[in-house]
Order: sequence, then C-alpha cells, then structure tokens
Amino acid sequence: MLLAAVLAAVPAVQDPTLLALGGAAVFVLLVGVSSARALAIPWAIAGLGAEYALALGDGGLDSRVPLYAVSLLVTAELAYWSVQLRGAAADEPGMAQRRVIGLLLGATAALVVCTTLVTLARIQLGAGLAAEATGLAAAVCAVALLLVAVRRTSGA
Amino acid sequence: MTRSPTPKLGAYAGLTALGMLAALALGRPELAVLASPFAIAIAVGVPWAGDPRIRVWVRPERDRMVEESEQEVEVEVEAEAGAQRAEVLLVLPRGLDAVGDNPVARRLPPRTTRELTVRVRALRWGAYRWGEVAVRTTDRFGFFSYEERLGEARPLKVYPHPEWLRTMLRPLETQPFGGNQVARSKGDGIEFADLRPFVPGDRLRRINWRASARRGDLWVNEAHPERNTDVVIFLDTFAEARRGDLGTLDLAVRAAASLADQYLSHKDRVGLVSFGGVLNWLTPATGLSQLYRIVDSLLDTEIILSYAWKDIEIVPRRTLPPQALIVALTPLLDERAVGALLDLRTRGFDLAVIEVSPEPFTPVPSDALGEFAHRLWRLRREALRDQFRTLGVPITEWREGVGLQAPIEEVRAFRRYARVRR
Repeated sequence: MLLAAVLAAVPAVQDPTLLALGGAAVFVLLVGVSSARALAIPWAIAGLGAEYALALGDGGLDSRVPLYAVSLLVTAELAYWSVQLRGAAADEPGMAQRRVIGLLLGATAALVVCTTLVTLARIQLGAGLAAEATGLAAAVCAVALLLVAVRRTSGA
Repeated sequence: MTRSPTPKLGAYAGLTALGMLAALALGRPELAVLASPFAIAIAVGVPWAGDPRIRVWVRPERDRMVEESEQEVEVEVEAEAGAQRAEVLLVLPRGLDAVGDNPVARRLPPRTTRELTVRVRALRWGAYRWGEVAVRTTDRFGFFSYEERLGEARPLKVYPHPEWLRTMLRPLETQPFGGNQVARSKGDGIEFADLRPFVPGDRLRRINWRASARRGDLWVNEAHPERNTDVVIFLDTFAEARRGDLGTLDLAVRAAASLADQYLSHKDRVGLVSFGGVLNWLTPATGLSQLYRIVDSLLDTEIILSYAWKDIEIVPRRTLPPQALIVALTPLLDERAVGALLDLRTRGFDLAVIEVSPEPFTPVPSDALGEFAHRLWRLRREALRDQFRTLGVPITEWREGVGLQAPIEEVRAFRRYARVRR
C-alpha cells in the first residue's frame, strides 16, 4: 500500500489535480486487498498507470518510466500476495523469504528489460508511414500473441 | 487434476493490452514500457506453467476413535515437478475437526516428499469415510492453479463416549446365570437374606452360631444369590428433535452406549432394539464382543422417515426375553414408539423409560399463539408421562447437560416406592 501511495504521489507532484485519480486508485487497491477481492487489483494498477500517463504531458521520453513500470509490477505482485495470504492455508516459515527473493529477482530483470526498451525508444530510426505501420503491427501482434497464449493455456 | 487460470493472468493480460493500445493511441512509448513488465511476466510464466504431478499418502494412527478423542494423521505429499506453494487440505467429514492448521501451505521441491501432521478431533459419534486430501497448487508466477483430490477414502468409526454410572437400574427379576445382581430369591450367595431353622443337608458353615446360641436350636443363614439379568435397550429412532450438531438421537445413542457398557461389565446380557423407520435388533448376549456389536450397531443408527405403522409385533421374540428389563430411550415424539412401549408394559415386561427431552431443541415461540401452542404441546407430553406412570412404568425426563446418572436415580426412586401393576 505504501508503494502504491508513493506511485500515486509522484505524478501528483507535477500536477496536483491528478491526486484524486491516484487517491481513488489507492483506495480501490486498499479495498481489494482488505476484502481479499483480486478483481480490484488490475483496476487500481490501471488507475495508477492512467495517472502517470496523464502526468506525462508533451515532453520527451520520461527516463523514470522503467522504475515506475517495475514499481507497478511489484505493487500488483504484493497485492496478489496479500490476497493469497488471506486464504485459509497458513504458510510454512521460510516461504515468505523465498518469495521476496523471487520478487526482487523478477523486478530486477523487468527493470533491465524496461531500461533497454527506453534506450531503444530513444534511438531515432526515422519517421514515416512505414515505421508507424511496423510499430502498430508489432504492438498488435504482441498483444494478440499474448492473448492467444493465455487462451490456449486456459483451455488446456 | 483441474487446471484453471487465476484472476492474475487475466489481469496481467488486460493491463498489457491496455498499455500497448494506449501507447499506440496516444503515441507515448512510456505506456508500452509500463505494460512491458506484465507482458514479460506472462511471456515467461505461461510456458513454464505445468502440471506439478502430485502424489499423496495418508496414514491415520487408527481407524477407531472415541468421541472427543484426538489422533494424528500423517499426510505425505510429493510433487514430481515441484510446486512453489501447495495448499494441502485433509478433507474431513462433518463430525470430525482439525485441531490446528488445516489447510496448510507448503513448498514442494521436485521429487521430494514432504510430511505434514494434522491432528484430528472426533466431535460426534458415527461411521465416517475419510482420508481424501485436496491439494491446490499454483505455478511459479501464480497464473494457473491446479486442484486435485487425492488419496482413497477409508472407514473411521467414532464410538460414543461412555458415561461412567455409579449405580444402574436393577431389574425386577434376574436370570438363572451367575452375575453381579443380587436376586430376590434365596439361595447360595453372599448377601444375607434371612435366617431359618437348620434342616439335614445344610452345610455347617452356614450355621449362624450367634442366633443358634440365643434360640437354643440350630439356625442357618440364607442368602440372596448373585445372578445376571437380561437388559434390552430400546432406542426410539422414529423421530428426533435437532438443533445444529446436537439432537435427541445423539444423546440417546450416547446413553445407550453407556448403559450397554455398564451392564455388560456387570456380566449381564444386553440386547438392543432400534425401533424406527428401519428396525434393527441384537439379541441379548454377554461379553466384550457384544459391546462392540452394540456400539457398531449404534453407529449406524439414523432417523429414517417412514409412514408405515409399526407395533411391537414386528420385533423378533428372541430379542425380548421374558423377565428382561427394557430400558427405553425415547423423545416421545412418535406415537408408534409410544404405542409400542405401552404395549410392552401391558405384556408384562419390566419397562423403564428415559425420555430424552426434545424441549431444549424446540424453537422458542415468538408470539402469543406460538406460546399457547407450545404450552399445549407440553401439557400433552405431561399427560403422556402420566399415562406411563399409571401403568407403573417409571418415566423420567433427561436433558442435555445433565448426567445420565440423574434420570437413572429418578427411575430407581420410582421403582423403590411405586407399586408395580401386573
């Protein structure tokens, strides 16, 4: 919750009007975690992401985005963990440490990938209809592949 | 094994799609970067997810328990492919409860057997089937959950907890075999009965020298012989009053087990008649094996709804030997059971009725009409009790929370002071 509050506060520093959106996202997350409703978590994460997107403005590429992206992932993971811990089963000692280590490793890997993506995004490859079309096709393909993979594995 | 996606997978996929599409629509690559950790998690996690291939072995300490007792159950779990977090639940039927954590979550390294111990408490008597274990695991990223019910169901018998009784109901008549009950007749025994003049053939050691010296003639002691008795426990299973986990049948079965235990320990012959929708009976016999037979039979006792009229004629004759003491445990809710008991009395059986009161299990009337109906019902029950008393049958009300010794003492007092009509 602390991490989510920080994530909500950072964009609000630039534009205090966004604090309402960030606050609402944190509230939704709080309700979701406290009532063990996992359904609320993606809405809260989407709210925090929307707050960040609205705070971007018209400037250049934000160099803090990898950190923000990884923080969103960690927030989501911690929220899902909290919901899981509210179940009936009690964890054995040592499971939490292993999970924290796994989460840190995952966050580090995600940070590396995000930083690479930002670096790649900074490279000027030239503009034009072809580049736009390629980018669009790549994004749509990526999303479609993910959805197909999820659907196939769900049906398995 | 049932595999199902968790809400997390859908959420991450949705966030990825939302971020990517928003990046395209708004022309901001930052949004694609925001979504990329979720996309990476899916891209890495989904192909890794696989069936953990779990195996389970359940080893209970024993397959028989007594009410309120506990036993430890060892559950061994093995995941061939490993599982980050496996929730293991020993499935317990209603009447058994786990003391401590159940379910528990464990990490299952690949090809390593983990041992769990679950302490189980028997709350209610009965015959159960148990031994199944429900296992739920999630993959490393928590995108899929795998659920399976493993292990094989095995029988468990939970015997009612017998209550120790200081005194028992004495029958009016004893049987010719040796036992612990002092007979009313005179013969060889320990309990002094009377004095009588010496006749040839009397053993010298039976001469009462003090009385002989006082009377100037030989007098001998007479004694009451120790005999056994036939006791038939009559369990009314036509109807019961129940609230939650406790009902009149539970109390009656516990009382029946206690009575059987006590009488059999006094070398008496004990039989059982479970008179209800289904008729069960055990002819009177003695010994430990008869106790097990009775208790096993009690475990199968249940209320089976039946509209068929049944009277005492359907009970086999050998089940109700002459001069047997019949101890009836009944809530007096079904007129067929009441009729059968009255019929037994009119046939000359030595009958005692312990009424397992249904009143604590009846709802409290909420309005005046309900209260009036409740009062009428209680009056009718009191009239019914009077009907038994008029026939010389001791009847006593027994409620939950009161020891069984109390109604037995009441019946003993009734039999001591009331005249028995024949």
